[in-house]
Amino acid sequence: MILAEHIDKSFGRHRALQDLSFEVGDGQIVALMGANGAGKSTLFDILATVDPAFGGRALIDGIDVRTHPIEARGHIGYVPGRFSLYGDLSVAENLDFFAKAYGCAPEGIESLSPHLWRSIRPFADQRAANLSGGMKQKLSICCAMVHNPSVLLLDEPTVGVDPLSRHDMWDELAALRAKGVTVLVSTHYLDEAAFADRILFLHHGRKLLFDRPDAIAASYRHHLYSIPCTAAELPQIEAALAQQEGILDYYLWGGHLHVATDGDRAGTPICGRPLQPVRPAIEDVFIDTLNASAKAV
Amino acid sequence: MNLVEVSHVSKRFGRIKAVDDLSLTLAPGEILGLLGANGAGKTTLIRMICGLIRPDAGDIAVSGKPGYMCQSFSLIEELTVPENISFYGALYGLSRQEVDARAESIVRSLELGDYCDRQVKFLPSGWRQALSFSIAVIADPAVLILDEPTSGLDSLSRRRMWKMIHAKAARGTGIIVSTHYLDEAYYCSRLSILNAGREVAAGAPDKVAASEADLLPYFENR
Repeated sequence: MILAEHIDKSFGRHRALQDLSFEVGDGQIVALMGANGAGKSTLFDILATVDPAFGGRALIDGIDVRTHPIEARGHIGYVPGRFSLYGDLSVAENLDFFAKAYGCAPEGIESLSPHLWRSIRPFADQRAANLSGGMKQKLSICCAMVHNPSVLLLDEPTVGVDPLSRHDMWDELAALRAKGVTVLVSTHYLDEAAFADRILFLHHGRKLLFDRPDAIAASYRHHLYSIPCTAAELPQIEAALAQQEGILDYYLWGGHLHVATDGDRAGTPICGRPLQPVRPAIEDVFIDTLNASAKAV
Repeated sequence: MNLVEVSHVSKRFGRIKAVDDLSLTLAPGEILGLLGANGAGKTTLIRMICGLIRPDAGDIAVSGKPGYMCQSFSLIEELTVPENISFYGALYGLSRQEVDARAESIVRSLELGDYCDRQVKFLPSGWRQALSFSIAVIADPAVLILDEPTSGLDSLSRRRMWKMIHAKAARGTGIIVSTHYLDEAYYCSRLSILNAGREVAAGAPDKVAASEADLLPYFENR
C-alpha cells in the first residue's frame, strides 16, 4: 500500500510538489500522468526513500519512508526514469548483483517476470551499456523485481520500449496485481493509462485528477470530432478550419485530425469531409487540460 | 534525385545480424518512418547512415553531412542553452556570426524564458528535445536523422516536435525518423518496418496498415 499525506517539495523557489495526498490500495495499479516537469519523478524519489527532504508524510505498507527508509526499501522495487544499472556488467551480472544485494536468488526472475526475462535472456552475456534503449528498460524492471517486492514504483518504464513489449509488460503488471502487488507507474503512453485502476494526474506539482480511466475520459468538456487527415493534407485542412466558427483546438491523431468545438458541429464539412463525432480518449482530456492551463498563464 | 541511397547493407555484432541485406532511399521533402521491435536494427541502420559505424557489406550514399539527433540526445549538461548552440554550431563548422544569429532565433522560437540562462540539465525534457532538434538542424542539412525524437515526451510536446519535423520537410529536407508511437507512423510520408534486420513492410502508412492495431503484427519475433 502507498499512502501520501500532504507532500510538499521545493527546489529553491520552484514548488515541485504541493500538498499532494493520495492512497494506492494493495493490488491496485495507479498510472501517474502529467506533462514533462509536472513533478512525477520528484514524487518517485520521495516514495523510493531516495529524497528525505520533503514536507508531509509518505508510508509504504505502513512504514514511514523518512524515518525507516531501510525497512521500507525491502518492500519497494524502484525503476527510476534515468538508467541506473551497471553498464560495465553483463545482463546476467546485473541481475545477480541486485539479487544478492537483496539476499535472494537471481533465478527467481524467471517466474516473477517471465515475458520480460524471455526477451532479454538472449542478451544475457552482453554488457548492459551496449543494450538498446528498450532492452535497458526491460533489464531495469527485472532488476527492480528480483526481490519480489510488494510495491513497485516505475518511472516511465516503457520509454523506448516497442509496442508489443509494452503490452507484455502490462500483462505482467496485471499478473502482479492479481498477486496483490501495488503499482505506481508513470507513462506518456495514454493507451497504457487505460489499463490502470486509477489515474493520478499531476499538474505543476498539484493533484488535478484522481479517478478511474473511464471517468476521466468521460469528463471531457467539449464536443469532439474526427476527420481523416494525413500530415500532407494538414495545411489545406487548417485553412478550411480557420473559416469555421467555434473551433477550440485541433491536433493530429494517427491518420486523423481531432477537432474540439464549443457546440454541436456534427456533419459540418471540412474540405468535403464531414465532422464525425468521436468518443474522447484520456489523451484528449490530457491535451485539453494542458492547453487550458497554458492559456490561463 | 535521392538524398540517401542504402543498397544491400549488412552489419553483424558477434552472432547477431543487426542489419541484413537492407536497401532504402530517401527523396527531398520525404519523411521516412522506421518502425520495428527493440533490436530490429533501426539504430544500427541510422548510425551507419550517419557514418558512425561502417557496414560489413553494401553501399551507403548520403548527400552532404546529415543532421543527427540520437536517442540519448547529447546536450552538454553543464552549459546553458546559448552555450550549447555555440558549441555545436562550431562543430558543424558555422562562423561566429552565423552561430550567434542561429542561437538568437532558436532561443526565440523555443520560448525558453527564464530557462535560457540556466544550465541545460534543469530543462524539462520537452524543451531539451526541442533544443536537440534545433541543434541537429543548425547547419541546415539536406538530410535529417532523428532516432526516437519523441521518446519520453508528453502528448503536447510530442505534437510540437512533429510540427517542427513537418516544417523542415515542407522546406525540402529529407528526414528519417524512428518511433515507437504507432500514431506517429501516420505522420510520416513513407514507412519502412524492420524485423530482425530485414525490411518486412514498406510504403505509404495507410497502405502498410489501415489502423494502428494492424501495425502490431510486424513487431512479432521472426
